Amino acid sequence: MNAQKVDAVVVVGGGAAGALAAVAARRAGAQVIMVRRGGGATTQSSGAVDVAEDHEGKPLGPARSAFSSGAPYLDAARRLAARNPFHPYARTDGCVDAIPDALKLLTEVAAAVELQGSTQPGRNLVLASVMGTVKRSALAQSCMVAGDLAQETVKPGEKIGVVHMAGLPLADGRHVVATLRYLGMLGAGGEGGAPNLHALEVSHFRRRRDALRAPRELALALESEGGGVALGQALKAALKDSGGVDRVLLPPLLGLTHMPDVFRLVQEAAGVPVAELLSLPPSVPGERLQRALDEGVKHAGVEVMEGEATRALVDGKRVVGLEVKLASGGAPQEVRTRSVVLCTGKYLSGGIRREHRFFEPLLDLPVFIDGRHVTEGFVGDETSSRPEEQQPFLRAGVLTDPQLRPLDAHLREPVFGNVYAAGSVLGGYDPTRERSGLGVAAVTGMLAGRWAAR
Amino acid sequence: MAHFDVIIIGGGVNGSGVARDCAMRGLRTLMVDKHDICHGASGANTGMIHGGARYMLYDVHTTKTSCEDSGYIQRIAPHLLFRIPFLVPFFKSDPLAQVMFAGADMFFSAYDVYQPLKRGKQHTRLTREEALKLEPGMTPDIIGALTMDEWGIDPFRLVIANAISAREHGALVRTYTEVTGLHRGKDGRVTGLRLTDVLTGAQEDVEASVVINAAGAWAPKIAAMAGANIRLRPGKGVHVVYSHRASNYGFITFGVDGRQMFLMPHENGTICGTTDDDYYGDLDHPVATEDEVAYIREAGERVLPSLSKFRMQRTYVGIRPTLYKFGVPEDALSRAHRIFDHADDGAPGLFTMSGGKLASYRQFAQEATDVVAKALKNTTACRTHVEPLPGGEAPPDLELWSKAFQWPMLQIGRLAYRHGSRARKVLDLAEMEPAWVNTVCACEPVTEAELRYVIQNEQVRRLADLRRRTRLGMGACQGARCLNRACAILRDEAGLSAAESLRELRDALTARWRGNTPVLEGPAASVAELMNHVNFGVGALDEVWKVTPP
Repeated sequence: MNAQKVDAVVVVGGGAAGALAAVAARRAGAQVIMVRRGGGATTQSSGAVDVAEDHEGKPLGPARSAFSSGAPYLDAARRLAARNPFHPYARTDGCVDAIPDALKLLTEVAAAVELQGSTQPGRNLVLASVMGTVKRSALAQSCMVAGDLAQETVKPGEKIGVVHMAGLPLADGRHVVATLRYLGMLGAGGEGGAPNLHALEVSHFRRRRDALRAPRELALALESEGGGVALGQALKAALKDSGGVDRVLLPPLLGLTHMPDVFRLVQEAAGVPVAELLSLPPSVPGERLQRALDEGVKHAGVEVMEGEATRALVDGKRVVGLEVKLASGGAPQEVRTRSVVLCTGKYLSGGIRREHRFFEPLLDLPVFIDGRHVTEGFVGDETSSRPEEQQPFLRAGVLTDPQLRPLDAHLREPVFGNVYAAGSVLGGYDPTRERSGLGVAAVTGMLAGRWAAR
Repeated sequence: MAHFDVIIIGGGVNGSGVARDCAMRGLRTLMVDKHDICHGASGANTGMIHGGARYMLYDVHTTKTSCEDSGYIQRIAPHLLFRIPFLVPFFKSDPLAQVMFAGADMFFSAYDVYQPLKRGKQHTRLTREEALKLEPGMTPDIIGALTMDEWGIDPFRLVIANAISAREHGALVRTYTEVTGLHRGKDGRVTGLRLTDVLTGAQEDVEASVVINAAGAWAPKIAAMAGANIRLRPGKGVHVVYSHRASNYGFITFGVDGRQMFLMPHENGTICGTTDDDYYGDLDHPVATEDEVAYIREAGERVLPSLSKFRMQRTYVGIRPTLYKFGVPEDALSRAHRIFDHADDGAPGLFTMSGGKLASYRQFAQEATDVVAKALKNTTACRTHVEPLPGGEAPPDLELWSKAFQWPMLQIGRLAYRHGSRARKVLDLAEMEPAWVNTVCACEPVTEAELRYVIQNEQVRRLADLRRRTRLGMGACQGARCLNRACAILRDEAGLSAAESLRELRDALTARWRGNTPVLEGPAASVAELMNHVNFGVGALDEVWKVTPP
């Protein structure tokens, strides 16, 4: 049995929501234990931080360029909250107003990835993905921000090179250029309104053994002795052949734990700003962000237990302990809890599950889709056959009171007085279609951590 | 106007089999399909070339010819077949189990007579302990089990190999080409077709001496264009795919209603099914329902309880073109095949092939080609049972190749499974450009070189065509990681525009999603979240597809 003397704030889950909850509670003076099982949605993320985007309902096309950053992200978050009463931004006390604080805290905790916003404070960055599409993010890692394609930042006549490395399965530079050009042409002004993009053929990672390596192995290769310099030189040679460009977008590979060093080496060699494209899973920038958070959590004095919280010990309306099965094995440990912050994610991380019925596995909290308590029933009712349409299935999660305490099945009062929830275990919003995942995780994590430490 | 001796409508296993046979007999042959090769029921079956043990009860001749044909297919496409030893359990809870066990033992002794025709092993009788030792995850509620030896196959590769062979013997194969009209002669004779390319809208008229309607469940629609009436009882067959191999052996199991079903390892996963229900819905977009999934799962878990721990990955649905009969339940319908001569309906020159099984496709194709040959007074003998299908010529030495080309054994094994001796051409392509050795679909795995090879050689027009040819996106991640990348390769090889690429991605992902939604449970839900994160959370494709042309 655990010899723990003082009851701790126990944060279950170690993604962005869990990290911010733990650090916020620690800064509020509590003893904090984080129980975490492994990488979740944060590890799979693009590594850029989305809060919200809003285009006043205008679809892509003559009325709105793909490269428009839309409303400032705080305004966009307020509009999301106004449209959807079940959204964490709407349900939680002072949520949208706390976003700037939360982003600041996220930047401090994940210091190793040097999160930055647009040069115009409050505006979304417009970042291109390896698919050649764009999305809006409030913050991005230092090795990504120069990729901002927002209309406001692209200078007339500016030439943007997109690195194409034959055989690199991660990103096809030519495909990215073709798709971005097409998106540009959809906007007002046709071709004239689109950034001036060119594929930049870089002969690197072209050998057979490179072709067999996973993205993170390539990222590690760039961190090893001379790796970054070699890529920089290959890039420089390609730039010379191409007659020069003003900025370079390249595959998301610029190191896993020493990104700033790799990034600067490559950028210096190139002689122009360089930026990573947004990554799909398996995502080097996502893993990089997760590692940075881990470091920040440890630095803040949070005790981390690698393992799984399997059972809650309940006394009336309080959770007084959690049983933790450690990854290292041995008998389950009991951790005494002053309060619990549930940051267990959704289906991907196991915070919400569906097996015949929807349920929350640790505390058996009721699960809602929008305002409906969902138990059994056909999942067909919660999905659309067109994948791009709204999928209520992805909005399943717990609903909370204004202090982020999960509510009972009748939405009347919190199930437990000392349990808080943050991140995508929360229902009422779909981070994938809204593009708000890490933003919601950061702000609800921070608030839940503060409240749990009271 | 182009003239053909024979035009085949439908690129399923029957159509492709006929096209190959006709082309090999020297006939000028055209095969058209409004979708891809092997898009319908031919690609939605249990993936077996079985000997038809079940038919012995009422039709020993069918069992014999099925076994014979299974043997032929092994000879012409040895690379595509894999042995599936089945366990046939007898449940303790069944009061008739002892009688059934003894009866089945005798039954399989009779079946053993035909096993040598397909290089099958004789059946054995296992005690409960022996059966549980072979398959520890199996239910202990048994008194014993019998073994039955059958052969599995990748149905997509079988059909595509037939179509490629047809092409190599001079046939023309046109995919995404719909029949939008029939030309008729003085006596009502069907003399040709109006064809419309469904991707470009281009129209073309072609003449034919004989037209074979091998459109499967769509056959009545083609026949109706000639004023002929073909009555089918289309049957919906659903399968559930699990993401891993849940057992070493296949199982015969039963649904709650006593219907026989299969549970078996197939390639990198496990297949359980199938259902058989009268179907009146949309032929082009059949989807499985959650209660069909529950019914199939129950049958699978009845024999292998540990199956509940495995991830359901998706469902797939096919519509069988079963011959019509009134007043019997679906399972009692004959699986026989038949050729209808529409001369009887005032439309000479048009024949419809209907019914049949994947396992008997070659035999059926031979019969249909005999009809064509007779009409055209062609006397060349059928050789489809002796001449190897593409890739089936000589078995490759995988270890030698793995060493010589420095490809991992797993990768080369999967490649050679799909392409047989022609895998060498993919290896040669990768020698030209070593960077193409990279793995696009890690689940299977599929390399960039293989994708480029099939785009260049196997009549690929759309992104989803790559799935049928290479199993791209059919693995555990369901295309979340590979489809976008494959789209870039297709764009590079086939010169698609950016808008066309986005359309391809949308249509391929939509098809995957429709198969996934009925099983959004347990880990399948997490894969769905990942897929949404990739395509919408990062890719923001929802806003792009709003303006992507149809």
